[in-house]
This record gives sequence, structure tokens and C-alpha cells, in this order.
Amino acid sequence: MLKYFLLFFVLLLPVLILSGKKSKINRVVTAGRVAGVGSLLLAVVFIVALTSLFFGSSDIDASSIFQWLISGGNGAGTGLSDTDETILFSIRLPRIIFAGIVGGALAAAGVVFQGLLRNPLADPYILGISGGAAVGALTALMLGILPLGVSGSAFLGAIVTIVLVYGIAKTKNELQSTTLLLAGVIVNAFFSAVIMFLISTASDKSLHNAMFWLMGDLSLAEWREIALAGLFLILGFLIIFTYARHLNLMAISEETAKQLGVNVEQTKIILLLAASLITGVAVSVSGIIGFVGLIVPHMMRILLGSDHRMLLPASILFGSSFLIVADTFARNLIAPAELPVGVITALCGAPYFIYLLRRKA
Amino acid sequence: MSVVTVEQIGFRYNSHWVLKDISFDIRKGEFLGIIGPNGSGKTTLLKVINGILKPEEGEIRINGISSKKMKRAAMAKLIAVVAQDFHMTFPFSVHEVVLMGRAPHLNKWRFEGETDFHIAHEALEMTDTLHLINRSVSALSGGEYQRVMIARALAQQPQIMLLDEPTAFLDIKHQVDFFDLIKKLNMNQELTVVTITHDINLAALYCDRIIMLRDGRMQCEGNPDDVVTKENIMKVYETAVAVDKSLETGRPRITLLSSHPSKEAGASPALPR
Repeated sequence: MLKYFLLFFVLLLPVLILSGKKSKINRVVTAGRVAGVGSLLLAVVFIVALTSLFFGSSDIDASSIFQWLISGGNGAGTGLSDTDETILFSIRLPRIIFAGIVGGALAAAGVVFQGLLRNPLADPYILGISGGAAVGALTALMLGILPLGVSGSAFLGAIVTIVLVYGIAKTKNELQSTTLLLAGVIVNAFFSAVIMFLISTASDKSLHNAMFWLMGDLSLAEWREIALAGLFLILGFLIIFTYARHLNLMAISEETAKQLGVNVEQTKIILLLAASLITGVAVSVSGIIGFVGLIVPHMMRILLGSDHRMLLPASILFGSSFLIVADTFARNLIAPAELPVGVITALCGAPYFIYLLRRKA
Repeated sequence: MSVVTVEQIGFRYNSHWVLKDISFDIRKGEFLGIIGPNGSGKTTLLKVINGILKPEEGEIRINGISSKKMKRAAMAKLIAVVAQDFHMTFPFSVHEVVLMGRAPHLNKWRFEGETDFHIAHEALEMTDTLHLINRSVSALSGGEYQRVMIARALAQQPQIMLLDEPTAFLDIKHQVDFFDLIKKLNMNQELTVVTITHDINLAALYCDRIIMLRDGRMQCEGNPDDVVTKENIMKVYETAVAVDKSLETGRPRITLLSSHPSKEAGASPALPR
């Protein structure tokens, strides 16, 4: 029980440090400040990831894990059996890395959608990408006839949705945020109906899998998918960070951005596509994990301000830690069974968010 | 010497011509007013001048260069805009907002440097907003907000400042404060100012020259004395006004006339007690 508190405390640590440090004077974002906050949050990601290696349904001696870690993953002389080592290296570690990548990806997409659509309620799923991915995934889960596998079909569904939503929203030479939002809502509603249809015709066995997928399931992790998701996250981060200062201007208004020299339509499409693809990949490999992409950007905004050059890296790193911790709880709280990680993110995310909101006021 | 040449501009939304056959020069260092009723094309004209809308006909030349050949960032180094938008979704600080004025001068990857901080600082000083530097823009009053917007525009270091009804939501004190500040910048910094306003008296008070639009065409242009006349206003606004010359300012002044005036204060019958 104690180690759960420890894990939770480590997650809270950067929030405490940052809220304590927030000086009233001159809090403009500089490269140095981004690097400082970035390294703090990166350190937390590592600590959280290593700590969560100690959690699992099979009882492995903690001091042995410790020795195993210190010796750099060399099992000899640590008292770990081959099975233990396999569990650590091939089951726990990939899943932790996977949770970190997915959490970062969702937070990054949330930052972009909130800023670009100037809507604090936006999350990575607001354009219906999750709905399309879910239809793809459920079709594969239930019919099992698609050659692409579950995540492949989900990604196909996500891509189709992106094309569809942008096609609906795009007029002659511009992409209006409100139209885009509406198109997303409509497409999402349509796909929800399809999802309901698929679920109501499902057999009991596939129903369990379907429900898990819909609430977020990180147990599907395989190295190939992890590497792919990681690659997309890094590429997406680089693209978005390049446009982060422009995103600041667009978060005020598109008119302002134009007046200050931004090529608005081009920037908007690049950012939306980058965020959509990141979301698409994350959803395809992990299902629909709610709340991370909504609350992590808000937490970081309250702590660090609205400048996206700070907000983006901070949200990605904190999103990673957050989802690693949430998933650790999800796979251990009712061990040997598992909870969908989306249940945990919503259960602890919502009250935490309320706390931050109230403290600010 | 003219900084902007507007030549034979025509602009339409779909089939409706909003601007037609508009030509005039904006001279360096002048204070130009654009007035006209709602829907006469004032804001569209301003957006065509700073290149946000592309004209269907004619062209805009800025310092002799056609606006079609200018990139957005190059345009933003020459022209700054202060409008009346009053809504920000996210709580940027005043300092951050004013530094955003440096955007056209920075490339994508660069953070603001010493020069930029210095320029932003000066802009805050000039607009008397330095004490607000760490406040969130969403916590400012209307007058403070518009001064911060001027500071942002100044941080762009523009040659021309376009104002789109900047005082629409301000009370008379803040209207006068706002335009006094703009006039000071206009005179001391050789800043060329073009403003749209619905307040004809304010336009007459501050502008060197006024252009009057009606249905997307130029009705007349000239100094305030020539433009602000009973006849012109009747024709353009279809409203009866009295025009006289203010003894204090020497500028033309309009008085609204109503066909249903309230009874004179002195002549009102005493209420029965």
C-alpha cells in the first residue's frame, strides 16, 4: 500500500515544486525556463517509470529488482529468476514505456486542439477521430476478418475520419474552426451509433474485449507498436513545437495571427494534421483513454501559463508520468484482474482538476 | 509623400460588391479617418489595405511595392492593427501579449531576446501600461486592454497603424485618452494612423483628413471642415444633423436632431404634488 502512495507522491511532486516556484515577476517563457521545467518533468517521468517497475501481479522481490536496475538489466547475481527477468523486461517495461508514449501523445494533441480551436473543452477526440478508430477496432475485434489486425483497422478508421471531417469542414479556401468542431461532433455522433450497433450485436466474449478497448487498454503493447507510436510522437512534437509561437497567436484569434504575419490557413492545417495523426496512432494502439488529453494541458496551463512553447513539452512529459501512474494502478488495484486505464484517469483526474481549478480561484 | 497607394480597389463577397472603385493615398505621418454608415465597407477596406483580404480589382502599394508581392510577415512589419475584439480564451499575461507584437520580426524557432524585451518594455512605457505587465489580459478593464493592444501594435514597430473602431466600448474619458495617446504617437513618432470610427465628432477632432464611404464607394474626402457638413451627412447617413464649429477646438461638430425630442427641461410641467 505504501508504494502506491509513494508513486502518487512522485507524480504530485512537480506540481508542488512548480506551483511553489511560480514567481509573480517576469514569468515570460524563455528557452532556459523551458529547459529547466522540461528537465524537472523528464526526471519525474524516469522516476515514475522506474518506480512502477516494482508493481505487478507476480510477486518479485523489490531489492532484487533494485539490484537488477543498478546493474543495468543484468540478471546475474541479483536473485532474479529467468521468468522474473522476462516479466520485468518483456511485460512490465514495454507496458510502462507504452503508457508513457500514449500519455504524452494524448496530452500533446489536447494542447493543440484546445489552442487551435480556442476551446478549453477540446480534447484529442473532439474531431471524432476516436469514434472512427473505435469502429475500425470493433469491426476487427468482432468480425475478425480484417487482415490489418485491431490496431491497423483502428488506424484506418482514424485516417478515414480525419479525411471525412476535414472534407466536411473545408470550404473554398479556408478551414473554419467552428465548422470543424461541428463536423467533429456530427461524425462522432454517427460513429457512436455504429458503435452501439456493433456492440448490441456482439457475442458475450467479444463484448468484454470491446468494452475494454472502448475504455482504454494498454495491455495490447508490442514493441513494434510502441516504436511506431513513439516515432509519431517525436515527429509530431517537433512539428508542433516549430509552430508553437504561431499557435500562441492563433490561440488569441485567427485575425490576430494574420495581422501579426502568420500564414494562418497553412499553419492550421499542419497543426491539425499533426495532432490528428498523433491522436490516431495513440487511439489505434491503446483504445479510448479519456481525460488525459483534456486535463493535463489545463493543469500545466494553470501552473506554467498559456505560452505553448512551454505548455507543449510540459504537457507531453506530465501526460507521460500521469498515464504511467494511472496504468500502474489499473493493472494492480484488483490484481490479478485489470481495470481499464480510462477508469483510473477519469476517477483521479476529475477531482484533481477540480482542486487545481478551485485553488486558482 | 504617400506610404500607401490605394488604386481602383474593388472587392466582393460572392456576387455582392462591398468596395468599388476606391482610390486614395495615405500620406506619411498623417492621421486619416474613415467614416460611413454600417455596411459601407469600412472594415473591409481596412482588411484589404493590410492584405488580409485580396482585392478583386485594383491594387494596394505600400512604399511603392504591390501588396500582392509581400509576404504576411513583411506586411506585419509595416502595418499594425488595433481592433475592438475583447475576448481571450486563455489567460495570457500582458507581457506575453505585448511580446507577441515581435512575432513578425522573429523566425519560427527563435525565442524573444534582449532587443525584443527592450522594445516591448518601451511600448509598455509609452502606453502607460508598465504597471500591468504581469497581469492577465482577461483581468483588464476596457481602457487598459485597448492601451495594451496599442503597446502590442507598437512592439511591431510599424510605419502604419490601422484602428478599427478602437473606442467602440470605451467611455468618453477613455475615448479621449485613447486618441490623445494615438495622436501623440502620430506626432512624436511619425506614425501614420488610419482609423475607422462611428463617432464623427471624434474623427473631426483628431483627423487631418477624412474619407467618407457610402455603399462601398468613396462619397468624399478632404479635411474635416469639407467632409463633415450637414449635406454630406444627410446624403450618407440619411440622418438630419446640425453642424457648427466648436469654439474650443475650432473643429466641426455635429449635433443629432430627433424628430421626437424630449420636452425642454424648463418647459416641462411640474408634477402634481
